[in-house]
Amino acid sequence: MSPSTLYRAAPDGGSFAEFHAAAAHRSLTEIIPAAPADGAAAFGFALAWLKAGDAGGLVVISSPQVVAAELGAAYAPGLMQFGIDLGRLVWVRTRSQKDALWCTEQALRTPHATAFCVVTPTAKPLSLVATRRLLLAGETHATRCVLLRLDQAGASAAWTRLSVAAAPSQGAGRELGAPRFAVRLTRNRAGPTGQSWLLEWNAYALRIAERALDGAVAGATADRSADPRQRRAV
Amino acid sequence: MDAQAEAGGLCVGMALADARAMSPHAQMLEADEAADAALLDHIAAWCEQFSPCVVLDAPNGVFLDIAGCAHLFGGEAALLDAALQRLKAQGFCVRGAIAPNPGAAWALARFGQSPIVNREALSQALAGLPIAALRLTPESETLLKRLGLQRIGQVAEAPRAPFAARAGQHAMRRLDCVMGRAREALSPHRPPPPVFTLRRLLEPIVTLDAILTVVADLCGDLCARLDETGDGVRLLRLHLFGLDRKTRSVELGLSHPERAPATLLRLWRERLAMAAENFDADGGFEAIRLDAIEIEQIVLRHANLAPQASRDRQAEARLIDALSTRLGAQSVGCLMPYEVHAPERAAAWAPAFSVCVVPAAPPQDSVMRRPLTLFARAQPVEVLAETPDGPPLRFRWRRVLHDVARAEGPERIAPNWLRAPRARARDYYRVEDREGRRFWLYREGFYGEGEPPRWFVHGLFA
Repeated sequence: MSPSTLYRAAPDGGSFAEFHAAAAHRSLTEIIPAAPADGAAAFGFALAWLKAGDAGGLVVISSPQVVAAELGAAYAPGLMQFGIDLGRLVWVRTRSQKDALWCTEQALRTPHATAFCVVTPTAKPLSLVATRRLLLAGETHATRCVLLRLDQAGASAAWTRLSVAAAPSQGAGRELGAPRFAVRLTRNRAGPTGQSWLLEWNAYALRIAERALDGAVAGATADRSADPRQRRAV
Repeated sequence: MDAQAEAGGLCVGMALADARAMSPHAQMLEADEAADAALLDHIAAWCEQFSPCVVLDAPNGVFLDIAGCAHLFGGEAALLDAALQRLKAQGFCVRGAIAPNPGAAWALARFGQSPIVNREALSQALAGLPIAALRLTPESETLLKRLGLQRIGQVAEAPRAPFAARAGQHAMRRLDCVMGRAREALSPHRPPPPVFTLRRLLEPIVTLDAILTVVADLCGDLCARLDETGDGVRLLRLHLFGLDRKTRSVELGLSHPERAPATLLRLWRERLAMAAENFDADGGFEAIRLDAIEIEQIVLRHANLAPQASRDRQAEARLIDALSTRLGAQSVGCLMPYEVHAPERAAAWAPAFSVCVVPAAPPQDSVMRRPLTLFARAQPVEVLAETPDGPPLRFRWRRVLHDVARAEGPERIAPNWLRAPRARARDYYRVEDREGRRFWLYREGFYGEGEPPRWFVHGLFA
C-alpha cells in the first residue's frame, strides 16, 4: 500500500455524512486506534461518535482500570468541553475485562441507554461470540454499543469498524484548532469498505464534519503506514 | 465461679481469704474484665436472632426488647425457653425473665421465681423481692436496709416525698421504673431497624440455594410490610445466625427505594453468590433475619406518553443497582467537575446519580482547553525548548520523540498556598505534534530558581 492511499477517498467516494446517517444507529460499532499512540484520538472519536448519534438516554462507559495507566483517567472538565453531558454519564471502573463486558451487556438491556466499552489486551482475546452477544443485546433492545478496541481486534460481529488516527488541527497561527481525526472504514457489513475521511468534531453543534483532504495532511502522516497494525487493517 | 465451687459453699461477693479458708483446693483466677466484656458483646450479637433490639447490661446481663417478636417463636414462653436452652447448651449459667419493663425483668431474672410476669401480676411478683433487685446505689441500699426495709413490697407504696428525701431521687426513679410508673430508656447494642423479618429454621441450612429460598420468603414478608406504608427500602442488611454462635451480616444498598420482592431477590442472589465463600458455616445457619435499615417513600410518577424522547429512570436505577451489587458501589459512579484551579482537584468521582451537574456549553470554536484524559501522576518528559521559558520544540515521551507543530501557552497555575505551600508554579502548554496528537504539558518551576525546572505530560487531548 502506498502512503498516499491512506487519506484518499475510496473509488466510489462515499461522503462521511451518508455513511454516518446509515451507520450511526447500528447496534455495534468498533473503533480502533490506527497506531498504539492514537489511543487518545480513538477514545475522543468514539465519544464523538456516541454523541453525534445520541438519543438522549443514559451513557454507560465501562473500562478496565488498566486503561488509566495507558491513556489516563477521563477528566470531567475536558469531557464537558468535548460536549459530553456528565449528568447522563455513568462510569464503571472494573477490575477485569470480563466485568466490563458484563456491564456493557447489562447497559444494553436498559431502554434508551448507550453503552461504551473499552477493550484492553488480555490473555484470552475477545471472541466472536462475545461481540455477538453484545450485538444481540443491542438489537433486541434497540440500544447502541461502541467498543474501543485497544487490543488486537480480530474477528467480530460488529457492523462497522473504524480505524482512527490523530490528524493535525487547523488553528490560527500556531494555535490549536478543533479536534481532527483521520478515519478509515475498515469493516462494513452493510456496504463498501476502505473509505478514508478527515473529520473534525464540532463540540458546540455536536456534529462530526468532514474536511477536505489536502496533500499536507497526507504527507505529514505518511510514515504511519509502516506500522504493522495499519497494514493488517487494510 | 462454677457449680462445684457453689456446692462447696462459696458465693459471689465473698472475700478471697474466706473462700480460701472454706475450700483450700479451689483455684483462684484473676477476673479479666476486658475478656468478659468482649464475651458479653458476642452474646449480645448472638441474641440478635431473637430480637433486633439488644441492649448490653454490663457486667453480666443483656436486655432484649421482644415487642413484636414473640409470635415468631410461638409465644413468649417458647422464646425465653429457646434462648435459655441454647445458652445453657453452650455452657453458660443463665437466668432469664420476661416482664413489662426492663427494670422488672432485671429484678425477676436475678431474684424472681416466675420467669414470665404480665402487667397485672407485676406488683405482686415484685413485692417479695429484696431491695437489691431495684438496682440502687450502694448508699441508698444500705440506708434502706438500716431502716428495716428489706423487700420491694415494703417501699412500693411508701409516701413519695419522704421516700425520695431519704433514699434519694435516683432510688425513687428506679422504683418507678420497676413498677412501670416511669419509662426507662435503653440504648441498644445496635440501633434496631425500623422494619425487619426473621425466620427460625427447624433444620440448619448450609447451601446457598436453601439460604436464597429463605431470603425469598423474607423479602416477600418485608415488602408486604412496606406495602402497608407505601415505602421502599434503600439499604438492607441480612443476618445469618450460624450454629457456631457467629453471625454473618451482608449489606445491600439500592440507588432508589424498592418494594418489589423479585427485584430484591435478584440482587440478593447476586450479592450472596459473591459473599458465599466468606460465610464458611460449618454447622449451617439456624436463623436468618432481614433488616430494612433505610426506608424511603416511593414517589410514583406518571408514565411518559412519549417514550422515544424520554429516559426510563426506573430501568436506569435498576441497572445501577445491578452493577453496584456485582462490582461494588465504589466501581460505579459519575464524574463531577469542580471550579478549582488545581487540575488534579477540578474533577472527582461521585456515586452514580448523586450529583446534578449544571451542563456547561462547550466552547463555540470547539477547541478544547482541558484534556480529555488526565494521568493520576504526571509523566516526566525530556523537553527541548526554544527559549528557557518558552513552549517546547520537541519532547520525548514513552521513548518516542514528538516534534511540536503547534503550541499554546503558557497558562500559569500557581500552587495552592494553603494546601501545598512548597509546590512550584506550573506553566501549562497545549501542544500538538506533527502527526496531530495533542498533549497537555507543563513545566514545573522557572529557570534561575536554583533547582532546574522539569517537564511533565499531564493529560491527552483527543
